[in-house]
Amino acid sequence: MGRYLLIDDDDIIQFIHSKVVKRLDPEADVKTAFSVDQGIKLLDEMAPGPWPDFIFVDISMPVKSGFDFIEELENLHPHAYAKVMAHSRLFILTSSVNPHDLRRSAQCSLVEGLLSKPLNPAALERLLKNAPTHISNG
Amino acid sequence: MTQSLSYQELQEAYLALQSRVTRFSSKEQELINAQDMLDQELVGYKRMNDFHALAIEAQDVPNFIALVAETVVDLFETEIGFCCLRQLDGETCLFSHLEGGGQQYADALMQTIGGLGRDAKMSFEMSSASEDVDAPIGRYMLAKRSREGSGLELVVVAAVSRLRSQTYAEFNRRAFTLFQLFVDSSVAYLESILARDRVKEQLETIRKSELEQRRLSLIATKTHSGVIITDAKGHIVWVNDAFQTNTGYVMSEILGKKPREFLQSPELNSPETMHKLSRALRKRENITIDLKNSRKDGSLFYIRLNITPVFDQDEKLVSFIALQEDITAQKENEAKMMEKNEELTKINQELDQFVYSISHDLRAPLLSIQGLLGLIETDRWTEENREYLQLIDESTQRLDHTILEILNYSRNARLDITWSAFNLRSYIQDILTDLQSMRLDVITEVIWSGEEQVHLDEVRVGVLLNNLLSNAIKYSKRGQDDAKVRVRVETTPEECLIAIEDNGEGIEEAHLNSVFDMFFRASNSSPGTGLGLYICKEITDKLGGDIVLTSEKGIGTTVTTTLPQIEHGQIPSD
Repeated sequence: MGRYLLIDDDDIIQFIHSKVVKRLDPEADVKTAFSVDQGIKLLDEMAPGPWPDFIFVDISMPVKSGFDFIEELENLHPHAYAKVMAHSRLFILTSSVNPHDLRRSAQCSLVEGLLSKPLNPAALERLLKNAPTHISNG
Repeated sequence: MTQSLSYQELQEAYLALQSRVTRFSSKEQELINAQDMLDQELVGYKRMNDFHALAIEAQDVPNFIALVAETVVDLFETEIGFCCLRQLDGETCLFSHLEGGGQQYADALMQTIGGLGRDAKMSFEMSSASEDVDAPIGRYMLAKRSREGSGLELVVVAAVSRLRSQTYAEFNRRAFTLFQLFVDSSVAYLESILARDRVKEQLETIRKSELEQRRLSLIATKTHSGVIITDAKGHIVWVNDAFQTNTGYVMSEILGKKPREFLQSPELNSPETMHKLSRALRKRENITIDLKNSRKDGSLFYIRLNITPVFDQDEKLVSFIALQEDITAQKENEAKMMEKNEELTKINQELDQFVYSISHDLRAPLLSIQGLLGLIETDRWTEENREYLQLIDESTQRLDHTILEILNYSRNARLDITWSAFNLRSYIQDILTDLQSMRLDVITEVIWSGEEQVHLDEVRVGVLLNNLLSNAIKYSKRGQDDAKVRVRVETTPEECLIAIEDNGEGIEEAHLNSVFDMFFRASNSSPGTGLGLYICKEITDKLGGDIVLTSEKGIGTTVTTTLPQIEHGQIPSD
C-alpha cells in the first residue's frame, strides 16, 4: 500500500488521478491538495507520521506554481524538504509543453521526473516497477 | 714798312708749320679713330638697347636664354653665342641655347664652361687665343654668374672659331667691359623673369584657394545645415542663412555671443553631454555630438553638432567651425521606434504568455476528457458504444495535437534561437522510442556518420524531428511486415544533415510543390492539421537551414534537412 500526495487545482484531474492510482493500488492512501499552500499544510500535518511515497505536483496553478511549492519547501520547510528528499519520489505532472518548464524541472534535484497529464495507468505502473532514478543527497 | 724774313727764318717757320701740320694730322687721325670707336660702341649700346626691349618682353626662361645667345652673336659679331641656366653643381642644365656653330662647338663649349670656376659666385674670363691648334674654338669670352641662395648659375659665352680667330680683333678691353655689362643686365632680367614666374605661381595658388574659399562659403551659405564660425574663444563671428532660418536668430543679434549662451539652456541636455562638449573644445578636438537646442521662439529641436577647430600655419587656434544638422525628425522617429519596439516586445511577451495560458487552459479539460475516457469500463458496453468511445478518444487526441502544433508554430516564430550542445543520436533514439507506440510494426534504422554531439537549437530540432519522424512512421507501408523508416544522419563541424526515408505510399508529384504550405494536406485518409511540414519549413528557415522533400508514388518519401551548426567557440556557456 502506497501513500500518495496529489497537488493540482483541477478537481476533475484530481478525481481522475486518484482513480488511476486506486485502480493500480486499491489500498492506496491518496491525499489531494488543491493548492501549494494546502499541499505544504498537509505535509506539515503528516510530518510526525507516515510520509507519502509519491508526490505528484502540477506546475500551473493559481497563486503558486509547482516550482513555488518546491522552492517554498526548500527555503521555509527544511525539515519537510529533507524528508521529501529522503523518502518521497516527487514528479511534476503537467500539461505544460513549455520548454522552459521542462528545463527547470530537470534542474530541480528534488524532482525525479516530469510526466504528462493525464496520468495513465501504464505510465504509473512503470513508475511503480522502477526504482527511483534520482540520487538522493539528503 | 716791309719786314723781310731771312731764308733762315722762313725755313724755321716752315718747319714749325710743318710740324704743326703733322701734329694736327695725327690728332685728326686720333679723332677719327676715336670717332670710329664711339660709333662702334654706339652700335653696341644700340644693340644692347634692342636687347633690353626684347628682354622685357621675354615670355619665359627658355625664351630669354635663347635671346641672350642670339644677342651675344649680334653684339660681338662672333660666330658662336651660348647661354645656359644650370644648377650650381654644374650637373644639371635647365635651359640652354647655342647660337651659330654646330655640335663640335657645343661639345667644346661644354668642356670649357664645365671646368671653370665652378664654385665662384661670379667669374668672368677673357681668353687669349688657344694654344691648341686643333681646338675648334679660337677665342672666347665667358661669364658665370650665380646668386646666393638661388642655386642657379647663368653661363654666357661669346666665341669665335679657330679659323676666324686669326682675323678677329674685337675681343679687347672695351668689348670685355660691354660683355660684363651685358651679362650683368642679363642676370638682372633673368631674375626678374624668375621672380615673375614665382609671383605667377603664388597668384595661381591664391586664385585657387580663393576659388575654394568661394566654393566653401557657397556651400556654407547654401547648405541646409546650420554653420557657425567662432573665434578661438568661441564667440560667434559668422553664421549661415540656414542657421538663421533654423533657429530664428539673425546674425546681428548673436555676433560675439557664445552659441551655448542662447542655444542650450542647462536643463536641455544632460551634464555628461555638456561636459563632453566642453572637454572637446578645451582640448581643441574635433567632436560630433547630439544636442537638444532651443530656437528663439522657445521651441526645441535636436541637432547633430560637429565642431572642428581651425589652426593657422603656426598651429595656433584661430577659430571653430560648427555644423548643425537638424535631426529632430530622426530623433522623433527613434523615440517612436523605441516605443513601438517596447510595445512589440511587451505584446510578444503577452502573446507568448497568452498562447501558453490558452494552450494550458484548452488542454486541461481535454486531458481530463482523455483521462476519463481511460477510466471508463467498457466491458459491458455494446460494440457500437465502444466504437463511439474510440472516436471520442481519437477526436480529443487530434484536438490536442492541433493545439500543440499551433503552440509549436507560435513558439518557433517568436522565441529566439537557443544554441546548445547535445547528443543528437540518443536524442533521435529517444524520439523514435516515444513514437514507436504509434505503430509497433514499423522497423526503424539509424545510419550515422560523423560526430554524435551537435550544436543546435535543441527545442526546435525536437519539434522538427518529432514531426518528420512521426510522419514517416505514420505513413509507412501498411499491411505488410516490411514497413520501414530509415534515418540517415551525417554531421560535420559546419552542418548536420538528416534524411528521413519511409517506404509509404508516397506523395503525388502534383502535390510536391505544396507540401510545405500552411494547412496543406496530401491525404484525406489520416488525421492531420496540415501544419506539421509547414512548421518544419518554418523551423529550418529560422535556423538558417533547408528542407527538401522527394517522393515517388508507391515507393516512399524522403525528407532531407540540412541545419548549420553553430561554431563551438560561439556557444554561450549557460
